[in-house]
Amino acid sequence: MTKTYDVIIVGAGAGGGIVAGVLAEAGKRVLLLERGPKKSFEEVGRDHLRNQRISLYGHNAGPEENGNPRVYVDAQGREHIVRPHEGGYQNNAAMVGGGTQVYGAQAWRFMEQDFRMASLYGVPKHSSLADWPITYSELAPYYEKAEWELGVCGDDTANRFQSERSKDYPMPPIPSNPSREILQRGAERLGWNTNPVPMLINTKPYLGRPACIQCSYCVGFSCPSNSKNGTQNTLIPRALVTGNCDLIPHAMTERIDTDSQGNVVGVTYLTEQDGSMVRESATAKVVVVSSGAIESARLLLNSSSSQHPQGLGNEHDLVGRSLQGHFYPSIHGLFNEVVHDGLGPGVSISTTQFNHGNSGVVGGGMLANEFTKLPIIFWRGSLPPDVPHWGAANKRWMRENFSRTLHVMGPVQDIPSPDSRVQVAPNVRDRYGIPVAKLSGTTHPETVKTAQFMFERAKEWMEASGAVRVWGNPPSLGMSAGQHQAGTCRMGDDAQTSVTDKWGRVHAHDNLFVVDASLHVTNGGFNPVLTVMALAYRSAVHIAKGL
Amino acid sequence: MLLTETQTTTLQAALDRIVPADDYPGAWEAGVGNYILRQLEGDSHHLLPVYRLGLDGLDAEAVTAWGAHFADLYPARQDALLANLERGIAGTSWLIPSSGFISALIQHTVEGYYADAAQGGNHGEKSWQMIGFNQAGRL
Repeated sequence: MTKTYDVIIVGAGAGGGIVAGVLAEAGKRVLLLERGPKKSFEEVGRDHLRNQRISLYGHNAGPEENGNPRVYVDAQGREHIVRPHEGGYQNNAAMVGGGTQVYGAQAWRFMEQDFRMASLYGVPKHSSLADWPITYSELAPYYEKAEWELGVCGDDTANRFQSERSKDYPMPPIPSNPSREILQRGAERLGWNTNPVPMLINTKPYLGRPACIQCSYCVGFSCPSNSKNGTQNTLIPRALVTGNCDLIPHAMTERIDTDSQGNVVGVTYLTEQDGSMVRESATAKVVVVSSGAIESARLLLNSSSSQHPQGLGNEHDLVGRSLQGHFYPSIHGLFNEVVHDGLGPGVSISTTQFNHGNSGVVGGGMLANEFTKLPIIFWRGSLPPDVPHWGAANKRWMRENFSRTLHVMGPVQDIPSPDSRVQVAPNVRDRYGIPVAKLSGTTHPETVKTAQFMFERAKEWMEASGAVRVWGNPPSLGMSAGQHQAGTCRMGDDAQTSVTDKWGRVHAHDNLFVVDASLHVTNGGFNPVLTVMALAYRSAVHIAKGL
Repeated sequence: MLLTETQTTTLQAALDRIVPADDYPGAWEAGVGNYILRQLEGDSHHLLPVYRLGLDGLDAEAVTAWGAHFADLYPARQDALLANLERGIAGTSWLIPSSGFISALIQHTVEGYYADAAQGGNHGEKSWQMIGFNQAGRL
């Protein structure tokens, strides 16, 4: 028997979780499908070798290692079939809450300039740089909603460059630490403005969950005290408590179903029951695709029919193009003093001095100190080039300098290229028999220029802060996607140049929406999750009105 | 058994040069041997033949160069052999690239030493105490 809903949402992450919460509370019947599992803190675990920060042998938050390949096309055009933990896969967590249960939880608003990059900077040759169809002001109320309904800590007065905000953060920032004091000193010498990093973390009891205990496992893991706020502990439970939302984990959506006229009527999904695959269909007035920039594009492309031979929303060959993420220019510095006090999250100070207005480059980016590192991550990525990787000298260096090494880095505004893209690989199928995503291309070379500019700023900051030694590798051209993946179904006013309208509605359809970072026309010089959440609130309110 | 007695003895000696003991434990005492055996039965099972050939090769290098088993060499000679093999400089003929084996061995050893104890190494989380990695927070 086919079940009928008002709305079917494909993907229970940052975007889908919020749409589910808003619509279920508005009295709509919601089906929330998630291909991954629902996992507790204990089930996510604390494996230092298999997590969302370092995935040497696997992941702690999905997707499963076996049966979920992708095809990665390298710069030489060679195709590689890769597993989720391997390079080129561009993995993001697949579980209830999506990345939000295991993210670092930086809670940035984009700046008003981020919504009009093409107007501000012009469009570099061969780039698909464009303005958003909405302004910062249109999104601001929904940023505020996300900050208050999930819970963000921060200092609303510190950041001189932030765009206008009408309300404070609900909680004060994470307590200061030695790293912050040292980098503050450097920034003052340079005349740079800094601010504590806004985070989706409770610094006091909030909405029934306790304050952060400052362990060192924010990024890549689940929170032991349930003080880190994602959709899995806010909007999804709110959706479920209404009784209006059916959440089905381990449910892989095969396709969006259309009728003989090409209208969207529902979805078909697969679950594994007693070792065999069960295919089920559900119908709904509205279908919302919230599977992340790679999987959302894949689902639209895999939902082709005689009316839509190129896939849904793909009349102009735009679905999957302009795949973006973030380059992270990165600098280490060694100090004579201890810079880490052993308390998480570690990240504590940032500057948005260089997000815009930099001479000779397009855009810029935020810089911040890094989260507390797992020791094995430090060994793999934080040793100066001349320090041996083994032996007594290595052990001594680790011992003396783990607590005296600072790491500054930050996301650089991606300059999109239409050739960086998601397609489907018809001959490579996942465990469900569905053609997998094929990823190819690189970001636009202009991104590397901006990243190089920010690399130099990071170096300058480290030196001004008193580092006795500074090291790092300059950025080079490559694919940009990963956990910050975005841009594959961009919103716009013109159906010839965008996949959805400014509400996330796929142009040729009345009832098909995309709600996740796929919509991002550009991805800002910031961690993108709060923007995903704000857009989700905005689209959800719009969808509710139409039902 | 995954490894012969001689291979195990060679492995122990090599691990203790990659992370030598001082006032904090060396790799073997920290349980890195357990970690590596688990890897060779698990995620790194494809490397088992490489380890067998590599450990035999390492010992053969010692016998050829110094007339003694690798495990019985002075530490400085063990270090020199490991450093040469890491760069692909070998005195005997190898069926596998020595540099590939040594770099896998180094990576596994350091993983076992610094990862969480649940992986099989880092007994008592001594390496974390040594470098100042604290996971307790304010509790």
